[in-house]
Amino acid sequence: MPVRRNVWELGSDWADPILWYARGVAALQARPIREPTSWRFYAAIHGIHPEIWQQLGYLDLSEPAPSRDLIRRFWQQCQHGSWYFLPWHRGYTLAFEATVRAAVVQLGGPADWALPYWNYFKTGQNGLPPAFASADWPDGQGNNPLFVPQRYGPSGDGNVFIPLEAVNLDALSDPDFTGVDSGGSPGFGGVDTGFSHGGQVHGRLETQPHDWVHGLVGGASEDAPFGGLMSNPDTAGLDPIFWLHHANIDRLWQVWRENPATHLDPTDPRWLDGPAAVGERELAMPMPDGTTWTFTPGQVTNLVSLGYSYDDVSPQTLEAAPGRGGQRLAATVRSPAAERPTAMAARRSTHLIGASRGAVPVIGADVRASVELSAETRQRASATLLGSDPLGHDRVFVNLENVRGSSDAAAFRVYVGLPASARPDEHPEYLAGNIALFGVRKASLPTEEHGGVGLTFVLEITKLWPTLHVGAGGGQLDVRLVPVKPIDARAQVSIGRISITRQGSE
Amino acid sequence: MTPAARERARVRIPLGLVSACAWAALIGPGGNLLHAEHHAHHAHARLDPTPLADLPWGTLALGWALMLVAMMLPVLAAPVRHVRDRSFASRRGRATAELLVGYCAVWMLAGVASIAAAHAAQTSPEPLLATGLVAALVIVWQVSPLKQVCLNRLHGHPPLAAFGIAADLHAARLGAAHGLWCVGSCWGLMLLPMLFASGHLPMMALVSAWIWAEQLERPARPRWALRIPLKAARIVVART
Repeated sequence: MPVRRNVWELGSDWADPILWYARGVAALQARPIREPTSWRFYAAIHGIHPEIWQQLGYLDLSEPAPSRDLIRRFWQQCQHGSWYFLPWHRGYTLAFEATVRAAVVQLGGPADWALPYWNYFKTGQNGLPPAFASADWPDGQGNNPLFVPQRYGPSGDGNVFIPLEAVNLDALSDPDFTGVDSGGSPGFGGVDTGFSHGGQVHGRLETQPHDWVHGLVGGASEDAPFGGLMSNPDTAGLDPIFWLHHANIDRLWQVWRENPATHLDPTDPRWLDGPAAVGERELAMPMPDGTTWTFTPGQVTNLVSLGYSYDDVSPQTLEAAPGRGGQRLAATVRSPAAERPTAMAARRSTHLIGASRGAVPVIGADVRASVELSAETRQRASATLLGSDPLGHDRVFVNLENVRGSSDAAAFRVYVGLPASARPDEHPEYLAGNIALFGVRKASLPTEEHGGVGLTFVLEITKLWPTLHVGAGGGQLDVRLVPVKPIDARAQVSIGRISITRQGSE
Repeated sequence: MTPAARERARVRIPLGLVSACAWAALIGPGGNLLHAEHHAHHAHARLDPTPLADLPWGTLALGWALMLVAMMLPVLAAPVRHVRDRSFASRRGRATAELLVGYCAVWMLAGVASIAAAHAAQTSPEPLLATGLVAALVIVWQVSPLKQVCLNRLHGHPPLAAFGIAADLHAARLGAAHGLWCVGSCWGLMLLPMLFASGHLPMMALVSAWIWAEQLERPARPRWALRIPLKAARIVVART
């Protein structure tokens, strides 16, 4: 059975699985776009933007396009902002892997070749795997297909790595696969969006680390108005690192399922039967033998039956980034929500307890906003000895509502309650989380599925809440946004409203 | 039921019940407000040129309001949920009411125009021709890019102020804006039952189903296109 292994633990920079991957990628890239098993066809299954592809040299309008039937069936299929996000990407990655494997076998490679994964959380492994950073093959010849120039990294200088203070595994401690889009937890795997295809809120794993790694790897550059390939859902599938990233996201789904075993996938028929059950296109992938594989989420929950496994699905912890004074809490620390039995956890209601008084434009290197708490929240806090708002089993979230912009590459850290004169990087204890605007550009367009109102991001601040002493603070909470790179005004990034919500028992 | 489905049901069920009451009122004795089967106009089997002209404006307004509640309330679930989710608990009822007032105000104004148009068609020297022209205009609008612009705007909801008068204004404005885009996308469909006095209720039912199906479709690029809302049909097929 093929085993997906850690790309950093294969023995060398160009170990066989990586070398065969590169050869397989080269073979797929040589196929014309009209062929369903070609590189670009597969990338377009995730998303395609003809104008951007043309500008980047990935599309030539004179070349024959796939048939309308193929385009209608396969392209622009990416499931995001919903509980189908994980199962669709599992099927997508599996079908892609099978396609590459077929090419590998044709070239004389092993029949059990498997896609490596990039576990950026492991110590010393947050850098881009070297085979992807070199423009040359191991023999010194150029045109290494694993290298793409449109990969700018967190600082926009082409140095690609994942800053560990920018990512976390908090999602792994969420006890519920699916949640809500009303301001509380969207759940580990995303929201049941009913008859809508995709919603404004991404699930917790989709938000972090998935969206973040896309934004940090793709990055942005002065010369690249659209950001790197990985920054934009319509170009992300063109970057060969995309697949190692998604293999890791897929692996983290399995980690969540097994740690602990009380973590369960949904049993609702609308999840099991997939988007076709709510009138959307069925999930379908072209296979190397020319057939179409249609699948449902219910059919991709068991790795054994799918015929692959991972070398390591042990509980993940996040090591402290070297040289930094603070440390993010390890993902194995269980949040109060994780202590609750799942049945009770399902019956919760979400309430707004604070909001900013207006929109917050996100420009520059340090953005400050203020959230005013409701009178009830202030009263409850001031009634206690500690001047804090006792939570019990409740959870608290900060919502960045209706985030709009023209750049997917923007990303920023969100601090809540940080004193005005304090340096954010010296106070990780006030860090609520990180937002990467992967998909925001599209969500800001009126003709796209969100009607142009942008995306809403949800960060849990349950652990942070008791330390904020909201009663003593006069009912205001400072929110500080610290971009990874200063955000240009031309990116037109804005937050419609910053709010605080509380999710508690009914 | 998933947590999200439960949250949706909390809004859909009350709206559905109120809509059902409006339907009951229309089908029952109150339905005589809108259709003229009780009038003896046997010579003109399909079109009765006089029913609207016979009815006082107050009755027409009430009838239009009942139609509105019956047909439109079910498709208001998303904006109602948005305004409730994103308001403080103490303001939810008020915000919902403000949204509905804003929405209904726009539609009542549209109702004046619709009734006037239907009245004009039915009382013209050539009622059949006039009705046909109005119906043709409705069809042209249905396939136009402007209809798609209006449909797109109904998806997704803007941020809302949470405090004070601004919160009240935002809720009412959301309702009015939603009403405006709703009128833009549905005015023709809502006009159709007004043009035909007999078969009014079945036509209302058909139009309701069509409107509900249309709002399920995804936003799309505005263009001239025959827009048949097939997603609803696919859902029905998938469920059976």
